[in-house]
Amino acid sequence: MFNPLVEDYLKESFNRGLGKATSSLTEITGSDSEIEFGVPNFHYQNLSNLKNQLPIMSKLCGVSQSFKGEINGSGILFFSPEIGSDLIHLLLKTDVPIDFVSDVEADAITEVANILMNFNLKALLDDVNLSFSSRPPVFEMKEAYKFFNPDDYSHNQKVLLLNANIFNKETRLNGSINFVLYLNEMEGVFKKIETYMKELIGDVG
Amino acid sequence: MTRVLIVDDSLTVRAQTKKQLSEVLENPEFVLASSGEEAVEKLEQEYDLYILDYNMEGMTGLELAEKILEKDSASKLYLCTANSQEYVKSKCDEMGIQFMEKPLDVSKVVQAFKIGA
Repeated sequence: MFNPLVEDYLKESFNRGLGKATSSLTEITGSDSEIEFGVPNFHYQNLSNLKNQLPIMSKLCGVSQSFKGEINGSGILFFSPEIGSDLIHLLLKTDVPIDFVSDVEADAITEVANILMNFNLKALLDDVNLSFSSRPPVFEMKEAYKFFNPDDYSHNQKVLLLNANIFNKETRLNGSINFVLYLNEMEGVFKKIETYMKELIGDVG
Repeated sequence: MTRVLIVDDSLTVRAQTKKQLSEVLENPEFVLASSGEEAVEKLEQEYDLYILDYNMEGMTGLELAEKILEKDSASKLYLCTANSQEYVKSKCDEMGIQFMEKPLDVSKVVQAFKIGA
């Protein structure tokens, strides 16, 4: 449960992040094939609770990326193999079973995920003046739980899960994406957001 | 004095917009509303500038803009949205409303309406 000020900030940040991602993805796909997103939901929870939110035993497409700078951690963007195939179809106009994607096709999906993760993280951190740099993203398809290496994550580790519907009116693309974000400084980020919001409300009355 | 109506369902955006405009407008007076319906109740007064969110529960920013323009077709309206759908952009063009993706770029607002600093 978030402080209402933090919750409002997060909601607006992710709306903005997905909006910016839409603009960027529209440039890639062409304005006739706009990728759209629904209103995002987000939860802050133990990694072990993710299984209630994600089909953790099912094979999923995942793009992982680590972040360094004033914040440090990693993110994984999950989506179903069907969404993966539909994205490839939308971006490259090819129909390929997701198990047999070429490097070019994997690269196309990875770029979509890269845009989504970075625009959302930037929207989250910009107003509280925290900067970061991203490591190259990596695409894989495997059971969701295998993305969380036990050496790197404890089950009590808290993560921010962002979920949104993704769709395109011109094609069959219609489903959801899940962005799991783990930052070492997550509690500190929330505290900074709370301070920022209190100052902002105080300044403007 | 510049009277501004800011309509957004996000407290964060209302506060950020008010703060940003306070820094560039001379002697501004702000009225804030968290929904289109609440804003309609405040249309008895006149404003020099309207900053509207597009995507709100209930009445959208475009629907609110129609009501504002019905009252005064020369109103200076700015529609801001995180979701830059082509439909919204073209509807804004059609209605003569300035469109901007969030976050609000105050310098562009001031430039567009030639008010303030």
